[in-house]
Parts: sequence; C-alpha cells; structure tokens
Amino acid sequence: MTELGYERYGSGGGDFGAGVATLMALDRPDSIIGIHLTTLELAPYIGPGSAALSPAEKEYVATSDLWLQSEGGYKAIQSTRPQTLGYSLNDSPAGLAAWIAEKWRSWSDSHGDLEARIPRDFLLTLLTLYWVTGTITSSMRDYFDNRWHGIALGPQDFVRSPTAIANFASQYAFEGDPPREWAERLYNIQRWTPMESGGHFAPTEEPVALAQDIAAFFASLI
Amino acid sequence: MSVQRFDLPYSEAAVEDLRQRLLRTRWPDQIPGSHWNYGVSLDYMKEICQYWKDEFDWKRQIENMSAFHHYRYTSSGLGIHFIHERGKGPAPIPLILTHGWPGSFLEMLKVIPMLADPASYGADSADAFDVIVPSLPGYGFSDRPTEPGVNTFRIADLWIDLMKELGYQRLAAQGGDWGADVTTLLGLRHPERLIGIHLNSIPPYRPYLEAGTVLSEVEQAFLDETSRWYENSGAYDHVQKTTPQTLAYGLNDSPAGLAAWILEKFRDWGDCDGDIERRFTKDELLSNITLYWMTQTIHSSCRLYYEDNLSPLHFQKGDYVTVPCGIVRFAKREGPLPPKRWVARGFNIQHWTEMSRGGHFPALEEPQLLVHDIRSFFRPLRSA
Repeated sequence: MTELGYERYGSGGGDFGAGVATLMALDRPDSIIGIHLTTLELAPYIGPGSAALSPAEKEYVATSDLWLQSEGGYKAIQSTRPQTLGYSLNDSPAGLAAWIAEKWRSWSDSHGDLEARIPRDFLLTLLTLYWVTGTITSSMRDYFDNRWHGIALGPQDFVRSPTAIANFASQYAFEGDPPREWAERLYNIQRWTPMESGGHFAPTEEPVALAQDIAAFFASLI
Repeated sequence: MSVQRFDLPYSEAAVEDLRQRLLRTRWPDQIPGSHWNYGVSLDYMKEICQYWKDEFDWKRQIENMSAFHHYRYTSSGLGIHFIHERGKGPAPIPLILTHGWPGSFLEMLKVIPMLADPASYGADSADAFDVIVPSLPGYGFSDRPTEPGVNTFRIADLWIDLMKELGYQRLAAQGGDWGADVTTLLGLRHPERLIGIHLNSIPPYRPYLEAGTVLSEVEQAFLDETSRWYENSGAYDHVQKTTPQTLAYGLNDSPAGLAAWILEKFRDWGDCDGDIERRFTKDELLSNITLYWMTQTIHSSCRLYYEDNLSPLHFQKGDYVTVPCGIVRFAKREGPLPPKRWVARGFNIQHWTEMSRGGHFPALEEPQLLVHDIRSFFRPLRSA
C-alpha cells in the first residue's frame, strides 16, 4: 500500500484475509482507517487473566470443536504435511478439484447442493487458477507456517482500529455462531452485522450485501 | 468350492500407463532447503519416481510373489486373497498373519518361509507353522467392499470363516497395525478357537474402565502424549477417518501422489532415522506402492479408518482377551509407547519382548527377530 502511495487505508477480508487484516491493524494501527472482516480467523486470548466465557461463547467454542473433529482433517494435514499432499493435488486435476470443491460445498450456504450456490464456471475458474499457477502446495504451506511459525495472541493484543464484522454464519457444515462478546475480546467492534444468509465465501455468495456493508462501514468512519 | 487358486494379475498396458503418468508428473514446488520439513522431500520423490519409471520391474516382482501359493476365498460375496504355505515339520500349527496400512501381504514374504520351514533356516522343525497371509478387504488382491460396515470386527469374523474353510479348528494369529486390531478381535470374540495371539504393535484400543478408575501416572502420561502425537503426526488418520473419498481422487490418479502418501509412513514409522533406504530398498517400497496402484485400493484402504471411526476398538464391560497374548515391541513405532499396565487391562499378557531395533514393519525390517519371537511365544502353547 505504501508502494501504491497510500498512507492510510482500509483493510478487510475473510479466512486468511481476516487474519492478515487483523495483523495489519495490530502492526500498523496508524495506517489503518478500519478493518472489515467476514470471518473470525484469529481466536482471541482466553487464557489466565481473561474474562470468563459467557454461555453463548461456551456454546460457540463447543460447536467449533465439534466442527474441527468432523471437518478439520484438511487443516490437520495442511498444517503438518502439506508437501506430502501436494504431490497428488498438483498432479491430478480431479484430485485438486475434489479437495477444493468439498470445502466450497461444506463452508458455503449450499444446503449440500454446491452448484445451487456457486456457479460452475466460477468454481472451475478458481480450480484452474490453482492448477495453472501450481499454487495448491504453497497455499497449503501457509497453514504449516501459520501454525509453527505464527504468533500467539496474548492478553495485551487488541485491535484498536475500528472493526466491522459481517457475521455470515450459515455454512452448510455449521461452524458455530460467534457471539459479539467473543469478537469484542480482540477487536474494537464499531459495526456488527448479522447476515441472514451466506457462509464462508461471502464475496462470492452475497456480493451485494457484503459490498453494502463495507461501504456503509467505511462511510461511517470518514 | 469357495477357495480357488489365484493367478496374480499382470498387465503390460497398465505398466505402460503408469510409466507415462510418471513421465508427465507435474511436480509441486518446494521451498529451497526445506527437505522433509513440510512433508516428503521433492528431491527424494523425483529420485524414486525416476527409478519407478525407468528401472523398477513390476513383472519380476509379480514373478517373485508367484513363488508362493495364492488363493481367493469368497465369503458373503467378498473375495479375500491369501497366501497359504503348509508347514514342514511334525506338527505345524496354523498361523494367520495380518498386515496393516499402508502395508500389504508383501511385508510378510521374507518371514513366510522361515515360519513354514524353520529347518531350512537352521531352526527346529517342531516350530513350523502353516502360514496364512490374507490381504485385508479393500487391500491388495482382496475385493474392495461395496457396502459400508466392513470394519475390523467383520474382518476378524471373515478370518474365522476362512480358517474354518481351510479345515482349521484352532489357530494362532499374529499382526501389527490394523493387523493388531484384527488379531485382538480374534482373541476377544473367538477365544475357543485361538491358541494364542501375538502382536507387534498395540492397537489403539480403549480398555473398559469402571467408573472411578484412576489411571496410573504412566498411563495418563501415555494418553496425554498420544493426544500430542496425534496433533503433530495424526493428520493422515484424521483425513482418512472423515473424508477418505475426497482424498482418494488425487491418490488414485497420481502415481507420485500415491507414492508420497505411502512412503512417508515407511520413513516415519520404520527404524530408519529419517533415511528411508537405510531400512527399505526402492524395490520393497515400490512393490507395495505399485500393488496399491494396480489394484486401485488406496481409497478402500483408507475407508477402513472411516469404518473404524464408527466402530472403534473400545472394550465393553467384561471384554478381556483371555487367550495367551504375546507382545513384541520394536524400537520405533507409530505413536507413543503404551505402558504395559495399560495393555494388561485388556490382554492376558504371557510374553513380552522389547527389541532394540526395528520398527512398525518388522517383517520387512527385522524378519529374524520377529520370527524368533513368534516361535518362542507359540512354542509352549502348541501342546496346550
């Protein structure tokens, strides 16, 4: 952003993008006008010294744990042996497609019918992008690096930048509905928008609702 | 006749297809200098795949395997492949050896002749066995199940069917990895038929614990260490027990992908200190991998994890393996070392050996040590 000539700017995203935006705000708060997140990528600090979990937070944590058991195999392998998996996914188009498409079905608001939610051409464009750039392995290595070379948020970490959360909690494989107080442990929440539909891939699934929320949020800050 | 002689299949076209796919492998990138840090090393993969493409001789491997007597037995519509070698001695007893994942019946080829014909190896013919080595359902030359529910409980029952069909009223059983689960269940569910069971790994069983049982420190430490190990090294299990189908597309379509997924475990679980060819030759590794490739059994092999997850080896109240149990522990294994006390909660341990070398594939790695231990364990039980 500096290279592009911007001194202050907004940042946003979901999944890894939410993590990146959060860390931008933690590292360079003076450069950040505000951050807008569509997923809660980074868990707040809940260790010694933190406030006790509310009932809603406990339920959210329990749902997340259950989700990890049935859905988290990808995360386990990608954060421990991404290279081993990379040989097949970079060599087999069907293998790559299955690995990725499974997540677009499970994590979107698909009700189990992937193509009812995600247009086929979009999915294939995405898959072909991973294929022609040969980036599936490097994309999975991010999980390893986040896990083993990442940062652990401590009690002193708090995002002071104005934060908006667009809460899309309608994944087909439900991940839990994060309570506002959970996000408030880490973020200076200035806007909290529960979204009636849409899951993990908000920009693809609910572009209008998302764009409106981003626009309204940053308009409120200027 | 439900038992038929079985000629091992060989297809030149399939070999040529494999070579072409290897030639066209799209290799992933690797962070320079990262070697094995993120998984199987790219340099090693290129080396072994080049050997696989240009020098490995599957036809010769099939010929080597064909030196043994192969059969298939169909039970409830499921065809089971097995090797059957008669013992040479005054009173051979039947011994069924069960392999695991990602291995196969091929692991046992060195030990079969030693167990069947001890005299030819300078040992006592009184220790001879009739040796039966099946392929697990969904593995090797056995059929891939077409229905859900073929878990270790079903497999143990299938093995009893097979042994009855072969005319054996009582049997000895041995196994490691999934073979240890199946062997345990033979002892648990068919004690009247089992002379004894011999395990070279402890299955991930849960003994029955009465409410209020306090585990010893050593047992609790083992469970904690197992959780940590699973976090670091159990991802293959997590994927295979939840989404084996998703994984299968790539592994069944990419020889390099299949090879990496499998040989990683030989390196991790074999006693090789990170240098896989210290323990296993390229031919040994590739024979096993090519078996998975040619039979297209990687998916069905992984589904056993899914089935087991639905029916895990959790002992219920009253479950205890009463038949004599012999345990041999090798220096390297998959996961932490279960304490004897933990094992004793569920098994009637009559024999316990610690080996200072060898790992998860002892029939390949230390065949003489394994055979010696099997003979020693079963010797006093023969007359029983």
